[in-house]
Amino acid sequence: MTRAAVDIGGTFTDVVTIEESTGELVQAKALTTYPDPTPGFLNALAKATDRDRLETVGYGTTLATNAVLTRSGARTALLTTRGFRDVLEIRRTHRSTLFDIYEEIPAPIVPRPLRFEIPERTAADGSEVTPLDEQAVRDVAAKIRQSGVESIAVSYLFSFMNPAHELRTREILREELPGLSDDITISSEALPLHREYERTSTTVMNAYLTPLVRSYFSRLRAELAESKLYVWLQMMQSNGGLVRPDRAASFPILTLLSGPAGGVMASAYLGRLLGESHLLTLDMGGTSCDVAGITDGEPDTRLDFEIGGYSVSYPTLDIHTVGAGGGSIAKVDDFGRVSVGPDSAGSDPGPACYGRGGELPTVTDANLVLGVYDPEFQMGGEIYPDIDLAARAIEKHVGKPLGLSVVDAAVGMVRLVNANMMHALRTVSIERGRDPRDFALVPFGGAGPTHGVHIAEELALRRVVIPPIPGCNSALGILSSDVRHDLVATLRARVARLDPSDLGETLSALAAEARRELDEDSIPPEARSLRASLDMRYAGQAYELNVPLTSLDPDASTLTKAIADFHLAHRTRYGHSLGDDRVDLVNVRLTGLGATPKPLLGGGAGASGEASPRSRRRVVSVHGEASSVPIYHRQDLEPGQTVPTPSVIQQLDSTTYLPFGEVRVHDTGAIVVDLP
Amino acid sequence: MSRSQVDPVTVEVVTSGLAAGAREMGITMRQTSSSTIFNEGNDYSCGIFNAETELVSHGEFLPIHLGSLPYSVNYSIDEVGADQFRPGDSIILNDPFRGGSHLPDVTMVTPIFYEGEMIGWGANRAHHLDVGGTVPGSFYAQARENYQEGLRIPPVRLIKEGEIDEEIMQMILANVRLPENMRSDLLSQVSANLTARRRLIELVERYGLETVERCMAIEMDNSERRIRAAIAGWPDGDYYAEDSMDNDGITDVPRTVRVTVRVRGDGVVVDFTGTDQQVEGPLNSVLGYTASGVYMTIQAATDPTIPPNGGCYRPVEIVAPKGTIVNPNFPAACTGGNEIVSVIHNAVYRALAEIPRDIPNPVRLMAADQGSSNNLFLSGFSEEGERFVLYEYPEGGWGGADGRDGQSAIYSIVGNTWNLPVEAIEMRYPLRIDRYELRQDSGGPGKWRGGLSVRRDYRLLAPTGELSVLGNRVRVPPYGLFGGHHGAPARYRIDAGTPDERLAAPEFGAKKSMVPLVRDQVVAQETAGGGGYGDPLERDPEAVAQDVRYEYISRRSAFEDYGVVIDSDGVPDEQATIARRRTLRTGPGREGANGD
Repeated sequence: MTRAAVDIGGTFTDVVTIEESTGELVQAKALTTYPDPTPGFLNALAKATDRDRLETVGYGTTLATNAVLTRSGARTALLTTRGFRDVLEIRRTHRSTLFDIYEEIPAPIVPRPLRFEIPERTAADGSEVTPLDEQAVRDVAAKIRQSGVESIAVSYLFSFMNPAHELRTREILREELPGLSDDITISSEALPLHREYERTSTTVMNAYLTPLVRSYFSRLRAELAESKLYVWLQMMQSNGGLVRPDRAASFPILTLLSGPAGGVMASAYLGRLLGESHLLTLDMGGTSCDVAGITDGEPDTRLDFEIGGYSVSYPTLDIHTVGAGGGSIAKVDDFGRVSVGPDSAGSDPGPACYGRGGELPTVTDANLVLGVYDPEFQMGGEIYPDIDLAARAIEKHVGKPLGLSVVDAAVGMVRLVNANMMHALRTVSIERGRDPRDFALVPFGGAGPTHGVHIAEELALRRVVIPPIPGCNSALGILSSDVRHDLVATLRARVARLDPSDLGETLSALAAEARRELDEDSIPPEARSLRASLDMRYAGQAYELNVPLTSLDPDASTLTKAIADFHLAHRTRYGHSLGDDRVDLVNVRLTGLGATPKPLLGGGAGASGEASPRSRRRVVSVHGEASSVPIYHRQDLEPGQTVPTPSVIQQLDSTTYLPFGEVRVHDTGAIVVDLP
Repeated sequence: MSRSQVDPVTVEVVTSGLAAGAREMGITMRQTSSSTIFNEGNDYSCGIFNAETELVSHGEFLPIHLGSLPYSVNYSIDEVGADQFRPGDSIILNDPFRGGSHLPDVTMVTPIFYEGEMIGWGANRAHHLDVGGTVPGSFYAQARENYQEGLRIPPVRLIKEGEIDEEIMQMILANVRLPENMRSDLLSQVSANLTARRRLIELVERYGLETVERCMAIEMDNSERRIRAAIAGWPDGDYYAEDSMDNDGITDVPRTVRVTVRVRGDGVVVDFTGTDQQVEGPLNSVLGYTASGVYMTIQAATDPTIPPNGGCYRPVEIVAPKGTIVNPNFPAACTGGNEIVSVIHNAVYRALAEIPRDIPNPVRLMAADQGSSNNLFLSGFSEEGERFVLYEYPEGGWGGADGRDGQSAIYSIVGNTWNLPVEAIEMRYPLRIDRYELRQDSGGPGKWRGGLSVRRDYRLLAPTGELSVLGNRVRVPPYGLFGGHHGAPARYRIDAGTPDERLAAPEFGAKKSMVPLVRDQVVAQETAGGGGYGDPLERDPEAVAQDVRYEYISRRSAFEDYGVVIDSDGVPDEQATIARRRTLRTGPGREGANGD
């Protein structure tokens, strides 16, 4: 059977399929369609494979992310405990810069008139202080009915200790507002953890995205059914694992960073095959560039993140995004300052050279004018670029205002976008205390390999690894990811006094939930694994360390071991441990994994010697020097061959520019560039 | 090899490596400490200093520590003796008159050695919940001498060659109310400095000592150059202003900071000559604090992207006459010095507002912020007999600025701490928070409205307890600029909204220690809002109407302060508004306008 992975990006929809019997990979690409991405999805799928053999389709999309960034989610209402409607707006009172008195702090997603207070209160121990005022909930429902609200968030204080009031509130709202039944997010389900701002913000974000993601899925299902395509759908999550669409529809925050997660997982997988454990990933597509770090083979993760200035507390790969892509537009302002991005031409109208009405010069236009891109080569398999349109746009909007020739202006554009990406890579390496020189760069996305070698050189990296199908790397990542469910429950106790059977009970409940989810996923028993861990801290600390638990059926010795491991983890991480037994358990975490078959890569007959070019072309370097360089086609390259530099390698989904370095083709099909 | 011979990439790599190390110090502190004030409130600063004790890089940092943390390093050297340090030593101090700020701020200074040579310093300062003295929390609002305010620690080695000096540790712990927290928090501070040591040594091992030192020097030179360039754009001249605090907690008379900013070329002299004499109460700012108030204002007014380090302060000269509230003589009480820093900041800012604004890069300016840290303590014993002290220092509103309303619910610019989550408070203290909300009509009216402040109501669940407050801006509210009105003053009440409602600190507004409380009594704290910027009669009526819809302002304020008449649909009535504004413009006694 065949598995397919689809990655719906801002510009292109990529598909990679793997035939499970042979390990053969096939790639295809189509333009992302707007506003409904499904036609693009189906177009790309149809190009790649025989639909009758298709069994599962895993995919990633930036749908939720874009909705946040463009503030186009649902009109959302928020119900809070009386006296606390402003928690969302007060935030944590902190600013991200010390001295910028004009710092922009985005307005809350739910404006004050749509934040409603309900008389009710639960105490810190979960006991009821004030009963839920059910009539007040009904009154609010009446107001919501008249206000055009499309989704509701409920976040009461201490609901993570006792969710009764939130559950009852949801019941009442469903009675009163049947049309919104599926679009109510309660905080005790979205994030059952303490800290009211973070929990409320996460809950609100989920509510904001639910209607959009839900309607997307139902449309997708309908359209698949219409075209008689019956497959298992799995969706990429921000944590680098796969999840079913129905769960993603209820908890769209799971997928907020799912688009970029695939590429990071593919890079980690490729790194394992290459024996490279420290990697920086650079995913440069049409509209933006995502960077991330991988150390010791594990992608960096974080427990919370900000998107568009909003706090979301959910485990996610630690990915940093900047507005620098092939479609990034160059402009010169009234003071003669030139910039590239973050505005992007997207796929509609696209770069000027696409001839689809785009008149502003983009990075893609610059690469075309410099000869890095081939004017005779289809872009994205669909478009023959028009170099005259590219040159005209650059001349009009950059060259003339700056008094530069078209070529010099194009060189400047490339240098600027390279600097933007270099800065992003610094953020995930140097600024996190790491020396980029210990890392290899994995550039991918349609435009990553065009720029990767220059960026790597400027950061003094030693190696660049270009994946076999760079334009579909995210899709490859989806094929190499496991099904994953991260579950958490609050269990507060002094570990030394904790009855192991209480922990056992919590774990069984989480394990049962994980098994239920994996059943739904149809994961066979032998492919399942459960991992438990405890968030612990010394009494009085506010931040926990996560320590793996050795058994799902804990006894006294499991707890003793957990305490010892906690002391050790604390010492390793912070240089000291308090050594007393006042260690508190805060949360119990359980991850349910369902292993999927991993794609085979490469496997072609070993070759040696220099690869043969197809042609030569005049290419202008970033120093403005033109020379004639050999042009290779990726499908001609055999593992073991070398490629001289400077040169260009073309393939359907990407163009690799190799200005310098020692280049060879690895057994996996990846191109490895060792820098001087 | 001159400075310029280090290539720019290496400079970038080394300096951002130092910045990452300094940030990591803060992360270590936050994640290993036991007190909410550290790990939720982030009330601390961390920095890496070069061998010449200049601040090179800082991580999480409060502007209020900018001026004084470097002093701590110098005093440590002077008092302990430059030749006395050994690898693995850490020096503790909190004496405000020896490089400290106020007694609850405890500083830890760690020399960093490489191959036997001292190459720099890691230092951090953190606010401890209690350092003894007359009242729990050590903010005694009626103190008259530094001795009453808590344990005074001169620079001494708490850690000697990696070993804790248990005698000094016990001496300290015997004098504080929460010894268990304090021990672990002090060790967190040491850990943070060890992080700095590790990161600095890594850089030196990789790039060589000479290169690292050059990079530090280049980075500071760059900051100095950028600050000078900004100041050079300001017309030369003497710019004078003043701002006042409510009183000193002993006598209910406002005390005034008077400042002349002399701009000369690319440097400034900030001269406090004429400022009121030091006061009997604890509202005195030691020199380190005063320097912080000046430095933070200059950085905010010039270019916030300039990396703050020792180079930034070279163009700034401070004249602070001895014996005044901005440079008191020992043993003046000074716990409330952080309050004066706000007054100093706002006075300097008001002076900078006098600089002509028709220049290419005018001073980055806003009307007064909430102007106080709003220090509030709730203490007592829980049902189980355990001592508790909750320290709160909540946010308020920032001033309006040209083209933008002031930010609501944000920490005073002198700090940058986080609020304590209600759920974190209730899980640890016998308290319940009844409400936490934005305060209507607290933002000073203006063409650009001041930011809203907050109200927090605390209900005592223990049998008995005490309230202590040490704040300002009850008598002297945050000023408006260019016709903007002042922000709403702060207010502290007990049992607000009940027949028993009363002011918590009637004598001095916001200065009172150990007000007794019994179970179920509620303390309502309301902080001050930001000042308005520009004439409120010029504010877009649509913006006023939205403020009314959002309940940021009342209809009454829309009518009285903004002259906007809003119809029953919540839409401005154009004709009625024009008429109302005409009346207000020509009418007598334009209430509340205190700008100029």
